Amino acid sequence: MPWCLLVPALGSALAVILPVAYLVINAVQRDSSRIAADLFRYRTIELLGNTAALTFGVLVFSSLVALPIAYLTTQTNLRGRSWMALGGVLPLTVPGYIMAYAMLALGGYGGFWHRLTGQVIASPKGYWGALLALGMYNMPYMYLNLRAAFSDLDPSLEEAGRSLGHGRLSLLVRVILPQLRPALLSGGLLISLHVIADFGVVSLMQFETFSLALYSANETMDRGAFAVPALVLIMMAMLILMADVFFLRGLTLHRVTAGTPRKKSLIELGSWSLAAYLFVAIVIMVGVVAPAGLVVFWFLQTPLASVTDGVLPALARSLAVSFPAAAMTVALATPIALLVKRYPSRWSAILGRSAYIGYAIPSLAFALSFIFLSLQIEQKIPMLRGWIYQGFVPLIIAYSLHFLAESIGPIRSGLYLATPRLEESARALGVGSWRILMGVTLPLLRNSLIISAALVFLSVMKELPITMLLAPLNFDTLAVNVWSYSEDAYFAEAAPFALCILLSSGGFVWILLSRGGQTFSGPRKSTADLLV
Amino acid sequence: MSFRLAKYLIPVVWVVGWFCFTSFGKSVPSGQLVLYCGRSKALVKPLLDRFQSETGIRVKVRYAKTAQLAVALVEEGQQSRADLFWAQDAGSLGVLSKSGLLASLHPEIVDSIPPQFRNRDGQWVATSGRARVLAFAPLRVLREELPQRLEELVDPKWKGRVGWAPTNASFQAAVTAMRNSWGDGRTKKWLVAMKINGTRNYAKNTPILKALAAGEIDLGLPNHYYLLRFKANDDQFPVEQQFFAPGDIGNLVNVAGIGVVKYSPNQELAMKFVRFLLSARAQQYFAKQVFEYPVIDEVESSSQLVSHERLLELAPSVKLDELSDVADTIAMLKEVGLL
Repeated sequence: MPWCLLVPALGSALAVILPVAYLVINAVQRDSSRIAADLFRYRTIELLGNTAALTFGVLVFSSLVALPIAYLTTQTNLRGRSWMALGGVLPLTVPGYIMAYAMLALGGYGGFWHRLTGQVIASPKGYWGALLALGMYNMPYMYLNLRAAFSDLDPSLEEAGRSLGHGRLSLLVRVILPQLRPALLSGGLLISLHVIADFGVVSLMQFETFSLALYSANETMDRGAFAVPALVLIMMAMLILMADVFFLRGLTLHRVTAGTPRKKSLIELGSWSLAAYLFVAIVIMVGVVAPAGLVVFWFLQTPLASVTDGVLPALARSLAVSFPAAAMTVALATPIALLVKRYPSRWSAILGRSAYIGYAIPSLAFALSFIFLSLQIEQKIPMLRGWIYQGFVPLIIAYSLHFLAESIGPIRSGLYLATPRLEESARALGVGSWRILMGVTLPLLRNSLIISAALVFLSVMKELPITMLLAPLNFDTLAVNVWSYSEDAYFAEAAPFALCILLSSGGFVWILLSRGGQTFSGPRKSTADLLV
Repeated sequence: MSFRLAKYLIPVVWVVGWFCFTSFGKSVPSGQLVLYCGRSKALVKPLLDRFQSETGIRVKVRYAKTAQLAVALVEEGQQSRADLFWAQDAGSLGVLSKSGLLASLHPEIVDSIPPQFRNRDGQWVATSGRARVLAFAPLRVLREELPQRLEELVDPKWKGRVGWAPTNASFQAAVTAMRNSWGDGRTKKWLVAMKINGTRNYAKNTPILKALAAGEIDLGLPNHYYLLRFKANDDQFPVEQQFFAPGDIGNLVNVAGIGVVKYSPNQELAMKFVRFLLSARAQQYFAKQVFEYPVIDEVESSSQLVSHERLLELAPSVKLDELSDVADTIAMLKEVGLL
C-alpha cells in the first residue's frame, strides 16, 4: 500500500474513532444499573422496531422513486432530461424539518388543500408521513449514486445481452440492475444511517423511533445518560455496515478486456413518455415545489419581529464553511475509497467502514466530543489557546469527519467501474504512484468526485448541531438563522434565510448538473491521451 | 488536470486563509460579552442591538437549543468563553447552578424582582414569564364546558380530544412542577390516565395549535404566547386559550432566565447586561412585542395578556428552583412510556 494513501486514510479513521471513545468513557462512568434500567425494557424494543420499519420503508420508497428518474435521465432521450435531473437532486437542498413542515402543510387548517378548496383534510402523519418526508428528503442520495452508476455503464454488456435475445425489461433486471448494486448499496447505506439518527422529522410526524431515547437523554443535560443511546445508535449503524459488506463481497464490475466503452445510444420511450413525465412531475411537486412553496408562503407573510441581520452575510458565512468543508471531505475520502477498492484486504475494509462511523455518531454527540477534545488540546498546549476551540479550521475538520461517509459512496461506486488496468499500465511504464493518482485515477473519477463534493456542500449548508456548538461566535449561518427563527414560530422572519438556502443550493446543483452533462465522455478520452 | 485543479483550489485556499487570519487568536477583549443563547433570535436580536448601541458593549452570541448549550457549558467548565447563559427555561439554569457554574448576581439585581421570579441563591433571574394554558377549539368546545383543573382532563368526555408535547422542555417543566406539588405517585397516575384517555403526542407547541385548528384535537396544553403570535398573522385562526382555575398547577408560570458564568472574566459587564434585561424598557419589549409576561410590575402588559397581579393570582405556588429536577421527570415520562 502506498504511503500517500495510507497515512491520510489512517489519520481520518482514527479521528473518527475518537468521538466514540469519548462516548464510551462517558457511558462507562455511568452507573451500570441505571444503564440497564434505561435500555432493558419493552419500550426499547418498540422504538427499535419502529426505527427498523421506518428505515426499511424509506429505503424502498427512495429506491422506487430514484431508480426510474435515474433511468429516464441517463438512458432515454426524453426531452427535458436536465430538468428532471434537477428534480431528482433538489430535495437535497431542503432542510429535513422544513420538508416535514411542507408535507404537514399539504393538509390541515391553512394548509395547501384548505386554501385551494376551503376544506380541511388530514395531513400525512405517523409512519406514512415520516416515510414520505424522509423518503423525499433522502431520495437524492439514491438518485445521485444511481445516476453516476448509470452514466458509467458499459454499453457493451447491454449489447451482448440484446444479442442473446433479451428484451428491454429483461435487460434491465438481468444486466443493468446487478451492475447498479454498489450504487444502490452506497445510497442505501447513507439513507439508513440518516434515518436511524433523525429526530426532527419523525417527531413532527408524531412517529416515535429510537432517536427519541437519545433526544430525551439530552434533555436531562447529563452526558452519561446521553452516551448510552448514542452508542446504541452507533451499534445499529455497525450492523448496517456489516450488511453492506456482506452484499458487496467479491463484486467486480469494471471492464476487463482492452479498449474503452463507446458512447451509448439513448432509448426512445415512445408512448411511455407520458407516464414518465407524469411520474417525474409528481415527484417534483411533492419533493421540490411543496417545500419551496411553503417557504415562499412564509416569505409573503408579515413579519412580527424586526430582523436586523442581513441575509447576505449569513450566505457568505454558509458558503465560507461549505466550500472548504466539501473540498476537505473529498480530499479525505479519496484515499480511503482507493485503499478499500484497490488494495482489498480485511484491514482496508475495516478502515473503509470506520469512515461511516463519523456519520453514524449523532451530530450532537459528535459536537460535544469535539468540544471535549479541543479543550483538552488547548489545556495541554497553552500556546494554542483561542485557536482550536470554536475556531474556523477545527470546524471544517469536524464537518469533514462527520460527512466523510457521504463523499465515500460516489467515489467507491466510481471506482467499481473504473478499470484498474489503466493504473497498472501506467505503473508498468514506470510512473510513480503519486503521478498515477493525479494523472490516471482522479481523472477517471472526476464525475464521482464532483458529486461527492456536492453532497457534502449541500449537507453543510443545512447542518445544525455541529455549527451551533462549534462555529466561531457570531457565526450564524443561513441554517442557524432559519432554525432560530422558525423554532419559536417566527416563520415570516425565517423565510428569507430559508429561501436563500434553497436558491443558493439549488443554483449550485444546477451548475453541477449542467457541467456533468457536457463532460460526459471527457475523462476517458483524456486518460487515453495521457497513456499514448 | 493540475491546472484545472488549481483553478478550483485557489478560491478555496483564499477563503480558508482569510478565515484563519480573522478567526485565529480571537481572544475576547474587554468591552465585549459572549452570550450563549437558548432563546430564539427573533426575540433576542432587537434587544441586543439596543444594548450595543446604548452601551457600546459588543455582544457575541451563540444560538442553540437550551439543553445543548447547558451540556456544552458543563463540558467547557472552567475553560468556557461564555460570560452569560440565557435559557429558555428554569430547569437548565437550575442544573447549571447545581453544577456550580453560575456566579452570584449583584444583590441589587436580585432584589429588583419578585422572589418568585428568581433563584433562591441569587445565581440567576427570570427575564420573562411563559405561562402554561389550556388551548381549545371554540368551534367544538364551549368556553363554559372547559375543565377548571388540570386533573379533569382525564374525564372520559375528553377521550382522544387532548394534545400535549412530551418531548418539549416546557411540558417537562410542567410535569416537574406537578411532581413537586402533587407528589410522584399522583403525577404518575395522572400521566397514565391521560395516556389511557388517548391524549395525543405532538413534537412541540406549534403543532398542537395547528392540530387544534385542523380539528384533530379539541383541547391542548401549550405555552401561552404561540397562539398570540399565530393570531397576529391570522386573526381568524380558530383557536382560543384560557387559564385553569386560580392556583391550579395547570397554570404554571415558567420563565426564561439568565445567569452569569462563574468563570467569566467580564463579571461587571455581564451584570450590566442582566440589569439591562430587567429594565423597564426591555421588559416592555417582552410584554408588547413578543407577548411574554414581564417580571417587574411597573410595566404595562399587552392587551392580550392578563395583568401582572392577575398572573400572580392565577399561578400555582411553585418555586422555580424546584423545576431543575428534569432528570427524574424524564425518567418518569420514560417509565409511563411517553418518551
